[in-house]
Parts: sequence; structure tokens; C-alpha cells
Amino acid sequence: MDTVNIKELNERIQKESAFVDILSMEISKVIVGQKHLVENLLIGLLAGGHILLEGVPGLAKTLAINTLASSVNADFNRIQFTPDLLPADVLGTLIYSQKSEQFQIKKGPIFANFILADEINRSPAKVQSALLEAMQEKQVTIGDQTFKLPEPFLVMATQNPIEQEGTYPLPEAQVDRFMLKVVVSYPKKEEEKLIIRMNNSGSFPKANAVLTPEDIIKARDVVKDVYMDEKIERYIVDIVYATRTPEEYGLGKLKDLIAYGGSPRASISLAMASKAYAFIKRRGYVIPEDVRAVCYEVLRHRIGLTYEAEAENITTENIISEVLNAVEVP
Amino acid sequence: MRRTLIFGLLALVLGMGNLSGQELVSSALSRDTIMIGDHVEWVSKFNLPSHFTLKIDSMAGYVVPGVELIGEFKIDTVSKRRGISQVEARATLTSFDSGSYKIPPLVVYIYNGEHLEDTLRLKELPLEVTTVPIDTASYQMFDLRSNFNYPVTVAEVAAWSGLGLAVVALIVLAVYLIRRYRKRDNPVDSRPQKREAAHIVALRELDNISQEKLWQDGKEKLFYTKVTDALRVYIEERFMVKTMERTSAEILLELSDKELDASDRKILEEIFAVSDFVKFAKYRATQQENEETIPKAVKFVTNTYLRDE
Repeated sequence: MDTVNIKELNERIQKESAFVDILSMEISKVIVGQKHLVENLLIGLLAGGHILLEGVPGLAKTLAINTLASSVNADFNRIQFTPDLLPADVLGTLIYSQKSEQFQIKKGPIFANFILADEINRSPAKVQSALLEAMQEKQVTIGDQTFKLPEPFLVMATQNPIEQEGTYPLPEAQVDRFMLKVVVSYPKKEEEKLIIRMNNSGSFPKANAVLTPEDIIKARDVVKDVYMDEKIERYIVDIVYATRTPEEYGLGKLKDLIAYGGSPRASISLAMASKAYAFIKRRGYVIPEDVRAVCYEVLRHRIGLTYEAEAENITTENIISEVLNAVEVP
Repeated sequence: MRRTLIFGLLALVLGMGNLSGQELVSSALSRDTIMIGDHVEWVSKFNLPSHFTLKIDSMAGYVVPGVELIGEFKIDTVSKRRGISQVEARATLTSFDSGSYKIPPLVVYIYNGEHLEDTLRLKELPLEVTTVPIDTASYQMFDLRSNFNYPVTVAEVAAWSGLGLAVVALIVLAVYLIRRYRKRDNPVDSRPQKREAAHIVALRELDNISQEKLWQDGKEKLFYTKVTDALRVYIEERFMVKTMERTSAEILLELSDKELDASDRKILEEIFAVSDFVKFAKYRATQQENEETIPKAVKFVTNTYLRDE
């Protein structure tokens, strides 16, 4: 039997993941509270997955990714999605230069390590498709030339849940490309008090660059090495299957509430996010707690609800809770 | 000539009648006064030569307006003596209207064989029909009586009764089948069954695991999986905490508000920690850890099982 020395594995992870604490500390200098958001940003960063953020305006979504970019010493671009935005405005285009009498490539704002696609649902499908294709392929073609996107490449898209008029909701197939969907909530009272103080003091703290993009790429390789037992794999598959065929897991009552369950990409994302979470927790192996910790973020945008569920105000979070309460933990 | 003969015979009969004190023809009502709706017998008697027959003119329906003939005249020979037959004709009359009536003369045809010998018209009969006297002092008006319901015959109800019985039989059969189906679906005896105590089940399971010598055969993962499963089942039964769908940390967290000694909690933490390492981290437990796991689990169960007060 191929054995792993748990002590050795943990020691390695302890060493390699030391930057997580430093990074978290640096981000927390600027971002008050929102630990959940920061933790999920790190999971997305380490697992190589993009993040869809949902939350009302003013919850430090932009500030969070800006601070992360500053901490990693990486390029950061913000793209405000508007109804008149065109794919070329995101990806780049060919511009005719009168001086050189040639078409020159003008790269779009997507050429950065960290992208904040603000209010992604305000732009029509063609712009969303352009961004999501780039997210998936990690390359962009302008004219007859294809350009690789820089590594690490992390897109954090936001959408406002309270405004629906004049928006173009992301199709299910495109939402599936986001590894995590994080719902950002309001800060606590004490945290909000601190935010007021920080803003009123006039000297707003800035995050220092404590990492390089290369460190992140290296860390991603280590995350891939985090050990995931076959029992955990089966647990992940059981959870995803329970969203597809709930009646097989004694959840017959959910059958009429779920239009479609998680895709195989959900299983992959759940496994990757669990590994990243185990890494953040400085463990060299995945335990069921890791899976459960990231389950809501990975699955909430991948489960389709029926009209019956919507009529009864049942959310995907309710479905995930039911699934986690029914699937046996290894 | 023939007419002379008949009158001669009638004169003879009349003479004989006179001799015996009998009338040749008589007609009378059994009562001359009746209450409205009552029946009265109308009896007419004739003394005729034996070979003579008589026929009464049929008077169907009202004899007179207000008086009604019930049924046909019934003609009967009462006696025969010395060539003379006494024939009686009876009828029943009624009236539904009060008043004084005169029953019209009865018309009788006398036949000698096929030949009509004579026609007799009997005397009119008086009939007084009285009504119920109304007591005006205590007069009380009654409503019209409802239609009279004739009793239903067996033949009329037989078909419906059969249908009703068939429906009842079907209901009984359906109830029987449903009960039988449910019983088969849920074969649990309705009588309360004695359940084994959780600690007995857990200790037996731990003993079985020990005898299987799993870790000795290199099946450490299976060994720790079985031990933790046995403990989870025990904890679920003993502390009413959902365990099979919970992680080790969640189980320990839920046990934090239960009555559990710190030493027992420590035992459980140690078993879960080693088990999670083996199950999820490819950790190869030391021989000491393997040897101590079952005794620790047994100790946890024996220390925490629910004792009778």
C-alpha cells in the first residue's frame, strides 16, 4: 500500500501554506470583517477557480479584490459592465495606425491577473460570453493572434441581487464556469463601527505586496498535492448525485423542487475547493469538514430550482442543507 | 200460445208462493241509511221455474249520480224445490256524497233457454246518505292528507338490495386488501418489540470487530471505519445526536452540551482523530494506537451507557 507519512505531509503543508496567514493579515488591514469573503477569495486563488459574488452595493467587494491584487503584487483591472459594452471593450481589438499604416493590437482590460467584472449581469450575452470564454480557455484571440492570459488569472464577477430590471441574468451554462458563488452579507455592528472610524480617520490603510504571482502558482501546485482519499471522493460524488437524484438518498421530497442538479464540473470544483480549503487550514489531506465548508459556495449556483420551489421560497441553500443532512459522512 | 203458458206458470208459482207466504220477486237494501262512504248490500230475490234463467241489465258505474255500484251483480241460485228455483242477485252500493237518493228500478230479463220470456222492472229503493256531523264548538281544521304510500314489494327492492350488498362486499374486500398490503409493506409486528440497549449492540459490534483482526491483516482503514461507525450508532442512540451525517468535529460539538465527562470526551476525541487520520490521510497507525482503539471504545461505551436509576 502506498503510504503517506502524515507528519511529513503536514510539515510540508505547514511550510508551504505559511503565506496564507501573512496574506490574510495583510488583507485584514484593509478589509474589516468579511472573513468569509476573504477566505473564499483565497480558495478561488489557490484552486484556480473564478468567483461570482452576489451582494448589495457597498460591501467592499471591489476593495477586497483590489487589496488582494495589491497584496500579491499582481495586475488588477476593473471592468464595469454596462448595456452598451462590447466584447472588444473587454478582450481588445485591432486598431489601424495611420503612422505605421498597419493594424495594431490593443489588448483589453482582461489582460491582468485579477479582474473585477463589476455587475456582470448589466451587459448583454455577447459580452458575458466573451469574458466567460476567456475565463475557461485562459486565452484570448484578437484578429488572427491568440494571447495567453497571465497567470494567476482570477475573475471575480459581481451581481446585484436586488435589481433585476435591465439586466441580463447569466445563463446556467455560464454560471457553471464560476467555481464559487459567494453571497456577501452586511458586516457586523462592531465591524461597521470600525469601518466608519477607518474612513473618518483620513489615513486609509493600504495593503503591502507580500507575495508574487509566482508564489501563487507554486502554491497551486502544492494544493494539487493535498491528499484526497477515495472515501472523500465518494462523499463528494454522493453529495453531487444527491442533487441530481435526491430520491436515491431518501430525499424524495426534493425531487419536485430540483430542476437540475450539479454537473460533473460541480464535482471537480468541490474537490478542488476542498483541497484549497484544507491547504488554508494547513492540512495535507482533505477531511469531510473541508467538503462541507465549501459545499454551499460550490453548489448554490449549480442547482436549478423548479417553479414549485420558488413558489415555496425554497432556496438552493435549503436544498444543500437537506443534502448535507442526508448524505452519510465517511 | 207460449205467452199464455208462461202466465199460466207464473200464476201457478204465484199461487204456490201465496200458499207458502213467499213473494215471487223482492228487492231491498240491507240498510236504508248509511254514512258517507259506507257499503250497503242490494239484494234481489226471484222465484222462477227451474228451467228459467235471468239476466240483470248491467249498470256499471253510477246507479244514480252520487251512488256507485261496486263490482258486478252476483247471481246465485239459493234453492230448488218442486221445479221452482230461488235466485238471488246481490250487489254492493256506496256513496261519497250525502243526500237522499232513489235507487232506480232494477231491470231483469227472464230467459227460457235462449228465448227472452219477460222483462221485470222492480220497485225504486230509497237510500239516505249521511255525513259526519261537525262539532262547531271544537272545530279544528286538518291539513290535506298526504298520498298514501303503498308498502314496497320484495320484487321492487330485490335489485337495489342486491346492488347495496355488492357495494358493501366490495368495500369490505378493499379494506381487507389494503390492510393486508400495509401489513406486508410494514411487517413490523404491532406488538411492542423489545429493543436491545444501545450499549449492548455497540459492545457486541466492538467485540466482533476485535475478533475479525482487521488491523492485524493490514486492513486498518476498514478497522477504524467499523469502530467509528459502531461508536456513531451508539452515540446516536444514547445521546440522541445525529451522527451518521455529521463529521467527527460536528459530533463532538453536538456532544458538548450533553452529560459527558471530560475523560470520556477525550477518549472519543482520540479515537476520532486517529480514525480520521487513517481514513482520510493514509496514515498508518502505530501498533499501540491499533491495540488501544478497541479497549478505548469499550471504555467509552461502558462509562457512558444509560444506567437504570
